[in-house]
Amino acid sequence: MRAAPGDDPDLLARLRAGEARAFEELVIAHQHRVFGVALRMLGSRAEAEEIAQEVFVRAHRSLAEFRGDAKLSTWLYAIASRLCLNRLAASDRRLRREGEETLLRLPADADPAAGVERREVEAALHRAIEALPEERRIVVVLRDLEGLSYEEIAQALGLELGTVRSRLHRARIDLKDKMERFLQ
Amino acid sequence: MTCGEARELFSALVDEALTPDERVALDRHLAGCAECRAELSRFGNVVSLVRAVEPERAPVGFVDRVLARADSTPWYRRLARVLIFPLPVKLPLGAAAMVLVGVLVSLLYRQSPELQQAARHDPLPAPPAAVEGPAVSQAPAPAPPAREAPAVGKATAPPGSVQTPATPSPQEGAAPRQDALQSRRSAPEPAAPMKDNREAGGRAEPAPEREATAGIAADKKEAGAPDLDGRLTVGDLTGAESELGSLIARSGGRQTSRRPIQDGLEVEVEIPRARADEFTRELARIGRWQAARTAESAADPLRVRIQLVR
Repeated sequence: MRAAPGDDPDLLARLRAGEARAFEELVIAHQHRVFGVALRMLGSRAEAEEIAQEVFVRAHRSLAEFRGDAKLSTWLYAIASRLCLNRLAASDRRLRREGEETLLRLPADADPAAGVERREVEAALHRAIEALPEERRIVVVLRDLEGLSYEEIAQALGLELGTVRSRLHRARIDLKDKMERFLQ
Repeated sequence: MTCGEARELFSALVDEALTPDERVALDRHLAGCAECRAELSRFGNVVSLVRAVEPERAPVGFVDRVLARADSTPWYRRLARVLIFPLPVKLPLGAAAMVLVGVLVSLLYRQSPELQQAARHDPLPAPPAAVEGPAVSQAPAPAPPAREAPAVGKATAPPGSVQTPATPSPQEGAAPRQDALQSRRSAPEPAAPMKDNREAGGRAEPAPEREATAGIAADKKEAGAPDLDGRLTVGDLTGAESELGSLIARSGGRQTSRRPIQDGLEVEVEIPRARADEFTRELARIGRWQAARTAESAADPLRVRIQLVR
């Protein structure tokens, strides 16, 4: 699981005291993760930024309601997930703009065959993730891309642990099937 | 365990989230099933591939844009946040602010003589009858008799000099500040005689009336308390009285009264203001001089009452 420097309890106390600098630190610490979740869910950088900004603005407005029984990062993931799923469910949602900019990237040593073949794998994986049903995609994004535990995912999405485990398993089976030709 | 049941556990196996019983049962199945082992390998590879995806980075300027949006929160929300500011923080801050303001005001007052002067000199209106000229004795206020006494004995200082209010009675001498206040109530502001004259100009009384008022003031001055009062303890009364007479003469003054008191004499004299300091120094040579009240008045001549005792 990736480190979460913005989960410092002192930061929470300063946020509750209304310290402006504390809020800035929160945004700095979590901006990339929140943006990453939004991008993987929505497939558009512009839309992802819009949602990611909204996540922090809402967090800023509702800090008083945050009881502190979850980590700050989990709380932000919960807001981000809800906003993304709502946006995807909205009937007037604009068509997703696909392109190279939204492609995920793999490190050079992730695939023994460098260059062109790695880019093929990246494109295939991008499409496979994008093709997942939204309720499964969010679980894969939070678990395998963001490194949340089952319990944190359950907390962020308001699901039972068993549901998280089941959705994650189905999502991985889907991905394996779509990536079959690239797997050893 | 069937192959289907075993493959349902692959995801939890990759995440090391199996219970010990599930782990034992799965290991037993995998040990005897090559197809499931191959399937597990592919499953593990796809999970590794997803986890190898490099994290995304928010666009440049993202933080600033978020902060700008957060700052544009509607005023009523910001007000609500201020109102619900936690009391444990708000109360000490408020108390500290009050203490700070108090300290600042106190410091400002102490370091500003003008403020102290303003606080001491209440701007009371000049008494209507208080008309004074440059060399004319100051007229008493036509106030009730109780307030007349402090003004008695006051003389207007020469133009340009600073006039100090007289201390009219021995009781008030113990509290100079109160004394000064009382004097101000019954007399015009001594620091601004010219202003008083200008203000009085519009309502100046006729000259004869002014002279008459000055005469009354002089009479009352004769009957009032001295400007300087003290006790001179000597060994030989007769000799000391003789020395005192010589001193008065040397100082250019005159004796205005003499009466016996218990243990000695009480003598009142008038000494030119300019010789007053020298006179009191010389008194100390005749005997042990204890001043009950020092001469704060600028009156000229200075009226001195000396209790010559053994």
